[in-house]
Amino acid sequence: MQIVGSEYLDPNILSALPNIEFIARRLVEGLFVGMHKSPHFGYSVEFKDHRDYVPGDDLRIVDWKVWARKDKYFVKRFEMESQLKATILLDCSRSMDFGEDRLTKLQYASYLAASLAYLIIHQNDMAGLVTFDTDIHHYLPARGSRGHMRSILKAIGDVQPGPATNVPQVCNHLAQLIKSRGIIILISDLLDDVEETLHAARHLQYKKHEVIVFHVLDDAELNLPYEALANFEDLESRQIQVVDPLAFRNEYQTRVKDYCEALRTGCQKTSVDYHLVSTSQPVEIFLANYLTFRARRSR
Amino acid sequence: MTFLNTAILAGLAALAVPIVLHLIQKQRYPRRLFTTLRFFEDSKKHNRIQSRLVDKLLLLLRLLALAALVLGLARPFGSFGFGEKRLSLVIVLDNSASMSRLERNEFIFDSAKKTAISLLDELGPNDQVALLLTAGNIRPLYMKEHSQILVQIEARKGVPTALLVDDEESLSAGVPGMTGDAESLKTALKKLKPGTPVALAGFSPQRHTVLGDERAVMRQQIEQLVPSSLSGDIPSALLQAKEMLETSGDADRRVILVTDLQAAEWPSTPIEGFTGINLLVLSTGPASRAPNLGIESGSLSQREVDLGQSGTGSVVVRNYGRIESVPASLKINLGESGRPQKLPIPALVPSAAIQLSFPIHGLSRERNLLGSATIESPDDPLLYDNTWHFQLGIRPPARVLCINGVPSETSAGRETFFIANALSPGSAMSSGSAGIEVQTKEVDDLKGVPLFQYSVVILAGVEKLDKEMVGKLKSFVSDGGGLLAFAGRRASPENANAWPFLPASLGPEKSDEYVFLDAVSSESQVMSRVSRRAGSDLATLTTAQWFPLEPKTGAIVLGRFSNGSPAMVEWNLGRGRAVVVATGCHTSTSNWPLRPSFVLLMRSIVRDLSRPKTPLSIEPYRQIGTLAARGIDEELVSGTPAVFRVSLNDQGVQWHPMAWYRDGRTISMPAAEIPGHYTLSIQPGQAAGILPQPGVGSNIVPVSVNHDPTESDAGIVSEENLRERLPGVILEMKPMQEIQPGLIESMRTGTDLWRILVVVAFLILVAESLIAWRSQGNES
Repeated sequence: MQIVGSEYLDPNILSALPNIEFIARRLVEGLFVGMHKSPHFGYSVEFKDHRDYVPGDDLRIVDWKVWARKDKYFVKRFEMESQLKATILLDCSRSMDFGEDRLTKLQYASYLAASLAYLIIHQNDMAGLVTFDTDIHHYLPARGSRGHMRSILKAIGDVQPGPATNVPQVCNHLAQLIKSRGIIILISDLLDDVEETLHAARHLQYKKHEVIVFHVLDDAELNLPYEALANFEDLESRQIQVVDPLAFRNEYQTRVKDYCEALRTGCQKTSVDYHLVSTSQPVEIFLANYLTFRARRSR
Repeated sequence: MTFLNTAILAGLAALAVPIVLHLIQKQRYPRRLFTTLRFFEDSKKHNRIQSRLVDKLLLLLRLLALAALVLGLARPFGSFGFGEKRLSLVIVLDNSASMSRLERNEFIFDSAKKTAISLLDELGPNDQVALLLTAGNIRPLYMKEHSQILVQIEARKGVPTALLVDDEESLSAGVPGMTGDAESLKTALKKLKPGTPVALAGFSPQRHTVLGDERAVMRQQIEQLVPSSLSGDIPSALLQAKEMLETSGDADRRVILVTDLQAAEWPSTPIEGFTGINLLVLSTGPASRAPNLGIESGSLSQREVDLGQSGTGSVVVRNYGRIESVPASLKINLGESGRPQKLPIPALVPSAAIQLSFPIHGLSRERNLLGSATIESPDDPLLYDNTWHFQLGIRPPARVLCINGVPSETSAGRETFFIANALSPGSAMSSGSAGIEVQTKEVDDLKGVPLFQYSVVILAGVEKLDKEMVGKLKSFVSDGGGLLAFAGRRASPENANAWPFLPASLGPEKSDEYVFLDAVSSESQVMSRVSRRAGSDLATLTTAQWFPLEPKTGAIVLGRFSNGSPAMVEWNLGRGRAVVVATGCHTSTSNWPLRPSFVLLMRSIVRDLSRPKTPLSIEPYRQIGTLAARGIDEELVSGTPAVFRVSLNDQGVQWHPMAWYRDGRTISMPAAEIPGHYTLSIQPGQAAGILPQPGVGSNIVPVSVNHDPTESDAGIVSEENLRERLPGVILEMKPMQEIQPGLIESMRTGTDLWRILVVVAFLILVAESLIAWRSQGNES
């Protein structure tokens, strides 16, 4: 039986990914012990440091070798490895339903989301999904079971482009909703107010989340490659404006570049991982590059 | 600026089509769905100019093309040298009498007509033309369109105008006679069937011709033209031509005057008001060297003679030619059957004149003796001035109505017995040798008697008259009749003093004093003449029964009794006169009827009373072109006026009805254009239709119309003189014989703007197509 949304889990994409696991750049909290460092100290195999013994400490963690040498009680502290909790925010507003001669941004984002979810769950971490436009449509909390993967794929498959988008509102809402720290992956065209969007990202960071932004744009949006005069119709507001692309292209590109730069700068300031994604770039290439980049940085 | 095809201008409404198309077309850009317009703010100002303007440009071009096409097809033309290649031409054709001169075996007017027709033939289809004549003041205005006639009627409001229609049509439409009432003319015109040929004729000295393109009608008019007998008024015609051309919107406006340049028709001083006229004068050339005898003037010793008496006529014959004339003769025609008299005219050197007199015998059955004096001269180039028409009035016997106021069984007992016998011995209503016809009626039989048939009414001893009769008698006298009243046996001062026509009031009757006629007034020609002829016999007129007379204001005493009391008093009342005698005319009251001088006195007085002292305002001899009018007697107010031109030929007198105009109690005839005899008549009673001739009992006034001697002078005005007399006129002169085909074409200097506009429209459309094609290429 074909799983709804399974078309977004393209084997070609997955097979093209490097064998690099998706590692949370920041600490994540997880219920199960995994490969990720946990901010909590506990029983683990990886020693971190010693501290003075205080009454009440479990005697099992007293380092008797150090007592023998120093005649002082020290207890060993270990770094706890926890499971990654990644929540993928998939913007399914109508502006995402745009693509010239290839995948729409929404399709591209869906591939990206499905691939990431698979990747995360596949490495025994937990992945969740939020689809939204002006409001949240699906909220699948992060889980690590294989069945959960199917739920994510079904949710992605059920996505219908909504009327508009409101990234800040959704992010603020999720900041309240997601209690445990983890990774928030925002996949959106971010056609919203820059300041409010950055503010929302900061809000998520304040809640100790690592925020990754995949700013998905179509090549046409980036370059305005058209020639002829046309009535440009806003996919969301349905407003129409006559534009002469040939004459306006340079100005447009400058404006879009400025806009993206503003987002990038804003994200950098708040350590939000911002990535501009062009739908012209194959998903697998982008993902491979990203994971490589991320692995390199975590080292 | 005006348009030849104004209706096509409605096509300008089609300008809305490109605008609507433009608005629709505006939606033609491909719709392109895009994620957001946030980056397109102020993008319009970045649009390429051609992209922004291409539609507006295309719209503008389409509008321009359409407008140029519509304007072009509407054929604009204006007075500023652009527009249609059109010419507004006024041909002023000199049709004065001098144009009837014979040159090289052809009348110069015929040559002028041919020239005018050749000019007409050269006109283009869009040219406008009008024809003006220099002579004649009754101008028929032939028009096809009733709407044009309505305009003319409106313009002639108050000016006597006649609507000339076919008889049957006019009867059904109730077309009025000549009238100044524009409304009745308009009503009659509206009743006519559309397309009925109609003409207007009027008295107005102004000509009402308009610029038009009725070449065929105009050509027909010209072909039918004959020289007028009137003197020409070229300045007026030129002025009218100028006014007409000022109404034209054509770029080229010309006046062509075809004339013999007769000097007499041009004022000697410069004429103002012609500035700007572009005038081409085509002259017929100077008169050839030939003698030209003409009658300069004529006169009669008396206008009227008694039947059987003679008068004298005389004419002045002048040689207007440039060489000495050969001997000729003057032929005098009198009446219908009179044998013509011939008087020799000796050879006359140029400008010399001779007066010739001839007797006229007053022998005619008609009231007027029609006569003419005609020069018979071989090779006379201008026959126009060779005849002089005259009418000699033949006074018919005076018709006297004697009203008897004293009925009697015997004729001798009647009061009228002696007076009737004195005036006309014999039976009643007979004409004796005295030329007086007498009719006697009793006072009670007066009802219904038409007084206007009598010249004198005698009241013999009438005691009283009813009110109606008093009024009728007063009108009779006022209208020129004569009245003689005797204070006879039954005269009643009380009644008589209430009669407004008596010149004196009567005092109480005197019967105790014997008086005789002692003195007569020397102021009265009649009484003087009687006194001379009767001598002392007048004093034998005695009476012992008489009434003292008290003359009214303005009355004169013709004779007095021996006691100084007025015996006869006369006064003028209106155009007639009345005489009252203080005693009766019967032997029972005086011995007057028994005296021989009574007969002389009565006949003289009656004859004198039968001739109105106040002449009619009409002059019986008139120069051609002048208006004639006469008053209508009160008794004939309800009569039928008529004006006739009278001619004599082998069949006798011919009557030609003419147009006339009545204004209250005056009847006018238009200024005659043909020399000859005319009659203004009033026929008693209402007559239907057009009178073929004066009816029985008509009151007739004769008028003889003769040529204008100034037309005889063949001297011409030079070009230099013409330039001096027409300051400000752009003048060009050419002999008529030298004009070449293409003259009219050379007068058209305008440009055919419509062709340019159509070409421009085509070019704009080509440009529009190119831009549209290029624009579409860019978009694709």
